[in-house]
Amino acid sequence: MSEKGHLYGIQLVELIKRGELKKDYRPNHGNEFTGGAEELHKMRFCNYISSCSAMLMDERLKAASRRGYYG
Amino acid sequence: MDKSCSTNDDSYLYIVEKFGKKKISSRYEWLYTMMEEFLRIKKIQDDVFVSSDILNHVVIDYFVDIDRLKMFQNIQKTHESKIYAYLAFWLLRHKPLQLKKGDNAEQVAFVNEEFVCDLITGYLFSEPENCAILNNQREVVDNFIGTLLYYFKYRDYSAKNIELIILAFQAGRGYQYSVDRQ
Repeated sequence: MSEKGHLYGIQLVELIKRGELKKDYRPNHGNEFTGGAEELHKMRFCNYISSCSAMLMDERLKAASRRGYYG
Repeated sequence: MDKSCSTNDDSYLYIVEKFGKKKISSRYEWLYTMMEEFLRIKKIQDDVFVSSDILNHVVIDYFVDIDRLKMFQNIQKTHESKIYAYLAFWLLRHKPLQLKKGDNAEQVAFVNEEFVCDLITGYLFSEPENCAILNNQREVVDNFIGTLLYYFKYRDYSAKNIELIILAFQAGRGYQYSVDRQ
Protein backbone atom coordinates (compact mmCIF):
# COMPACT_ATOMS: atom_id res chain seq x y z
CA MET A 1 0.00 0.00 0.00
CA SER A 2 1.24 3.48 -0.90
CA GLU A 3 1.78 5.88 1.99
CA LYS A 4 1.37 8.89 -0.28
CA GLY A 5 -1.83 7.48 -1.69
CA HIS A 6 -3.12 6.94 1.82
CA LEU A 7 -2.33 10.53 2.86
CA TYR A 8 -3.82 12.04 -0.29
CA GLY A 9 -6.93 9.96 0.23
CA ILE A 10 -7.37 11.41 3.72
CA GLN A 11 -6.70 14.91 2.37
CA LEU A 12 -9.37 14.42 -0.26
CA VAL A 13 -11.96 13.67 2.39
CA GLU A 14 -10.87 16.75 4.35
CA LEU A 15 -11.15 18.95 1.25
CA ILE A 16 -14.67 17.72 0.69
CA LYS A 17 -15.64 18.24 4.34
CA ARG A 18 -14.24 21.78 4.34
CA GLY A 19 -16.19 22.60 1.18
CA GLU A 20 -13.04 23.37 -0.78
CA LEU A 21 -13.74 20.77 -3.41
CA LYS A 22 -17.05 21.84 -4.87
CA LYS A 23 -19.37 20.02 -7.18
CA ASP A 24 -19.01 21.25 -10.76
CA TYR A 25 -22.41 21.39 -12.33
CA ARG A 26 -24.06 23.22 -15.15
CA PRO A 27 -27.76 23.73 -14.63
CA ASN A 28 -29.89 24.58 -17.61
CA HIS A 29 -33.04 26.09 -16.13
CA GLY A 30 -36.28 26.38 -18.05
CA ASN A 31 -39.94 27.13 -17.55
CA GLU A 32 -42.92 24.88 -16.94
CA PHE A 33 -43.36 22.80 -20.09
CA THR A 34 -46.49 20.79 -19.25
CA GLY A 35 -49.72 22.34 -20.41
CA GLY A 36 -49.50 25.56 -22.43
CA ALA A 37 -45.94 25.14 -23.68
CA GLU A 38 -46.62 21.54 -24.73
CA GLU A 39 -49.63 22.70 -26.74
CA LEU A 40 -47.61 25.44 -28.39
CA HIS A 41 -44.76 23.12 -29.28
CA LYS A 42 -47.15 20.50 -30.61
CA MET A 43 -48.79 23.10 -32.82
CA ARG A 44 -45.40 24.30 -34.09
CA PHE A 45 -44.31 20.73 -34.83
CA CYS A 46 -47.51 20.00 -36.75
CA ASN A 47 -47.17 23.27 -38.68
CA TYR A 48 -43.55 22.50 -39.46
CA ILE A 49 -44.00 18.97 -40.79
CA SER A 50 -46.98 19.97 -42.91
CA SER A 51 -45.27 23.07 -44.33
CA CYS A 52 -44.18 23.32 -47.97
CA SER A 53 -40.59 24.10 -46.93
CA ALA A 54 -40.32 20.92 -44.86
CA MET A 55 -41.83 18.79 -47.60
CA LEU A 56 -39.62 20.30 -50.29
CA MET A 57 -36.58 19.85 -48.06
CA ASP A 58 -37.52 16.18 -47.56
CA GLU A 59 -37.60 15.72 -51.31
CA ARG A 60 -34.26 17.46 -51.78
CA LEU A 61 -32.67 15.33 -49.06
CA LYS A 62 -34.00 12.09 -50.53
CA ALA A 63 -32.62 13.07 -53.93
CA ALA A 64 -29.28 14.03 -52.40
CA SER A 65 -28.88 11.05 -50.07
CA ARG A 66 -26.36 9.22 -52.21
CA ARG A 67 -24.40 12.29 -53.24
CA GLY A 68 -23.24 13.28 -49.78
CA TYR A 69 -22.56 16.89 -48.97
CA TYR A 70 -19.98 19.50 -49.82
CA GLY A 71 -19.23 18.05 -53.24
CA MET B 1 -42.03 -9.06 7.99
CA ASP B 2 -44.49 -6.20 7.99
CA LYS B 3 -45.33 -5.70 4.32
CA SER B 4 -46.30 -2.10 4.82
CA CYS B 5 -42.68 -1.34 5.74
CA SER B 6 -41.11 -3.08 2.75
CA THR B 7 -39.79 -1.07 -0.19
CA ASN B 8 -40.40 -2.17 -3.75
CA ASP B 9 -37.16 -1.55 -5.64
CA ASP B 10 -38.79 -2.49 -8.96
CA SER B 11 -41.31 0.30 -8.76
CA TYR B 12 -41.39 3.56 -10.72
CA LEU B 13 -43.87 4.94 -8.26
CA TYR B 14 -41.29 7.47 -7.10
CA ILE B 15 -41.45 9.04 -10.58
CA VAL B 16 -45.20 9.55 -10.28
CA GLU B 17 -44.72 10.98 -6.80
CA LYS B 18 -41.99 13.39 -7.95
CA PHE B 19 -43.47 14.58 -11.24
CA GLY B 20 -47.19 14.01 -10.76
CA LYS B 21 -49.74 12.05 -12.80
CA LYS B 22 -50.68 15.06 -14.92
CA LYS B 23 -47.16 15.78 -16.16
CA ILE B 24 -46.41 12.16 -17.07
CA SER B 25 -49.68 11.50 -18.86
CA SER B 26 -49.53 14.89 -20.56
CA ARG B 27 -46.03 14.23 -21.89
CA TYR B 28 -47.13 10.82 -23.13
CA GLU B 29 -50.12 12.30 -24.92
CA TRP B 30 -47.94 15.05 -26.39
CA LEU B 31 -45.59 12.54 -27.94
CA TYR B 32 -48.32 10.17 -29.07
CA THR B 33 -50.27 12.95 -30.80
CA MET B 34 -47.21 14.27 -32.63
CA MET B 35 -46.25 10.77 -33.75
CA GLU B 36 -49.74 10.14 -35.09
CA GLU B 37 -49.67 13.47 -36.90
CA PHE B 38 -46.26 12.59 -38.34
CA LEU B 39 -47.62 9.30 -39.70
CA ARG B 40 -50.61 11.08 -41.16
CA ILE B 41 -48.59 13.81 -42.89
CA LYS B 42 -46.10 11.29 -44.26
CA LYS B 43 -49.01 9.07 -45.39
CA ILE B 44 -47.56 5.98 -43.77
CA GLN B 45 -50.35 5.06 -41.33
CA ASP B 46 -50.92 1.84 -43.26
CA ASP B 47 -47.29 0.84 -42.82
CA VAL B 48 -46.37 2.11 -39.37
CA PHE B 49 -48.11 2.35 -36.00
CA VAL B 50 -47.29 3.85 -32.62
CA SER B 51 -46.61 1.10 -30.11
CA SER B 52 -48.14 2.36 -26.88
CA ASP B 53 -46.21 -0.24 -24.88
CA ILE B 54 -42.86 0.86 -26.24
CA LEU B 55 -43.82 4.51 -25.79
CA ASN B 56 -44.42 3.70 -22.11
CA HIS B 57 -40.73 2.88 -21.81
CA VAL B 58 -39.69 6.00 -23.70
CA VAL B 59 -41.63 8.25 -21.33
CA ILE B 60 -40.64 6.51 -18.12
CA ASP B 61 -36.96 6.32 -19.04
CA TYR B 62 -37.05 9.99 -19.99
CA PHE B 63 -38.46 10.95 -16.58
CA VAL B 64 -35.97 8.73 -14.77
CA ASP B 65 -33.12 10.56 -16.53
CA ILE B 66 -34.65 13.97 -15.88
CA ASP B 67 -35.12 13.09 -12.21
CA ARG B 68 -31.42 12.23 -11.88
CA LEU B 69 -30.42 15.36 -13.78
CA LYS B 70 -32.58 17.65 -11.68
CA MET B 71 -31.07 16.26 -8.50
CA PHE B 72 -27.48 16.56 -9.61
CA GLN B 73 -27.77 19.85 -11.48
CA ASN B 74 -30.09 21.54 -8.96
CA ILE B 75 -32.66 22.23 -11.66
CA GLN B 76 -36.18 23.29 -10.76
CA LYS B 77 -37.64 23.24 -14.26
CA THR B 78 -35.92 21.50 -17.14
CA HIS B 79 -34.98 23.61 -20.12
CA GLU B 80 -36.61 22.76 -23.46
CA SER B 81 -33.27 21.81 -25.00
CA LYS B 82 -32.92 19.06 -22.41
CA ILE B 83 -36.53 17.96 -22.81
CA TYR B 84 -36.06 17.53 -26.55
CA ALA B 85 -32.62 15.97 -26.22
CA TYR B 86 -33.61 13.35 -23.66
CA LEU B 87 -36.89 12.50 -25.39
CA ALA B 88 -35.03 12.23 -28.71
CA PHE B 89 -32.52 9.86 -27.15
CA TRP B 90 -35.13 7.50 -25.72
CA LEU B 91 -37.23 7.61 -28.90
CA LEU B 92 -34.18 6.58 -30.90
CA ARG B 93 -33.22 3.97 -28.36
CA HIS B 94 -36.60 2.26 -27.96
CA LYS B 95 -38.15 2.94 -31.40
CA PRO B 96 -41.86 3.18 -30.59
CA LEU B 97 -42.81 3.59 -34.25
CA GLN B 98 -43.16 0.01 -35.40
CA LEU B 99 -43.80 -1.50 -38.80
CA LYS B 100 -47.07 -3.22 -39.54
CA LYS B 101 -45.55 -5.46 -42.13
CA GLY B 102 -42.09 -6.75 -42.86
CA ASP B 103 -42.19 -6.79 -46.66
CA ASN B 104 -41.35 -3.79 -48.83
CA ALA B 105 -40.51 -1.81 -45.73
CA GLU B 106 -37.47 -0.03 -47.13
CA GLN B 107 -39.28 3.33 -47.27
CA VAL B 108 -40.08 3.19 -43.55
CA ALA B 109 -37.03 1.35 -42.25
CA PHE B 110 -35.75 4.47 -40.45
CA VAL B 111 -39.09 5.94 -39.48
CA ASN B 112 -38.07 6.54 -35.85
CA GLU B 113 -34.92 8.39 -36.88
CA GLU B 114 -36.95 10.49 -39.34
CA PHE B 115 -39.50 11.35 -36.68
CA VAL B 116 -36.81 12.41 -34.22
CA CYS B 117 -35.08 14.46 -36.92
CA ASP B 118 -38.37 16.26 -37.61
CA LEU B 119 -38.99 16.68 -33.89
CA ILE B 120 -35.63 18.38 -33.38
CA THR B 121 -35.73 20.49 -36.54
CA GLY B 122 -39.34 21.46 -35.84
CA TYR B 123 -38.14 22.83 -32.51
CA LEU B 124 -35.07 24.57 -33.96
CA PHE B 125 -36.99 26.17 -36.81
CA SER B 126 -39.90 27.36 -34.70
CA GLU B 127 -38.98 30.88 -33.69
CA PRO B 128 -39.94 32.39 -36.00
CA GLU B 129 -42.11 29.80 -37.66
CA ASN B 130 -42.57 29.31 -41.38
CA CYS B 131 -39.48 31.21 -42.36
CA ALA B 132 -38.45 30.32 -45.89
CA ILE B 133 -34.77 29.51 -46.26
CA LEU B 134 -32.97 31.77 -48.73
CA ASN B 135 -31.84 29.99 -51.90
CA ASN B 136 -28.19 30.70 -51.20
CA GLN B 137 -28.52 29.25 -47.68
CA ARG B 138 -30.42 26.16 -48.69
CA GLU B 139 -27.36 23.98 -49.15
CA VAL B 140 -25.94 24.58 -45.68
CA VAL B 141 -29.34 24.04 -44.00
CA ASP B 142 -30.01 20.88 -46.01
CA ASN B 143 -26.52 19.64 -45.13
CA PHE B 144 -27.23 20.04 -41.45
CA ILE B 145 -30.54 18.19 -41.58
CA GLY B 146 -29.26 15.46 -43.87
CA THR B 147 -26.26 14.91 -41.60
CA LEU B 148 -28.46 14.98 -38.49
CA LEU B 149 -30.60 12.18 -39.93
CA TYR B 150 -27.50 10.22 -40.95
CA TYR B 151 -26.13 10.74 -37.42
CA PHE B 152 -29.27 9.31 -35.83
CA LYS B 153 -29.23 6.36 -38.20
CA TYR B 154 -25.58 5.33 -38.02
CA ARG B 155 -23.49 7.24 -35.51
CA ASP B 156 -23.09 7.18 -31.73
CA TYR B 157 -25.61 9.54 -30.26
CA SER B 158 -26.32 10.39 -26.65
CA ALA B 159 -28.80 12.71 -24.94
CA LYS B 160 -25.92 14.95 -23.95
CA ASN B 161 -24.60 15.41 -27.45
CA ILE B 162 -28.09 15.89 -28.88
CA GLU B 163 -28.50 18.68 -26.33
CA LEU B 164 -25.19 20.17 -27.50
CA ILE B 165 -26.36 20.00 -31.13
CA ILE B 166 -29.45 22.00 -30.14
CA LEU B 167 -27.45 24.54 -28.13
CA ALA B 168 -24.90 24.89 -30.96
CA PHE B 169 -27.65 25.65 -33.46
CA GLN B 170 -29.13 28.28 -31.15
CA ALA B 171 -25.70 29.80 -30.56
CA GLY B 172 -25.14 29.96 -34.34
CA ARG B 173 -28.44 31.74 -34.68
CA GLY B 174 -27.45 34.20 -31.97
CA TYR B 175 -24.14 34.82 -33.69
CA GLN B 176 -25.79 35.42 -37.07
CA TYR B 177 -28.32 37.74 -35.49
CA SER B 178 -25.45 39.75 -34.00
CA VAL B 179 -23.64 39.86 -37.36
CA ASP B 180 -26.76 41.06 -39.16
CA ARG B 181 -27.19 43.87 -36.63
CA GLN B 182 -23.61 45.18 -36.79
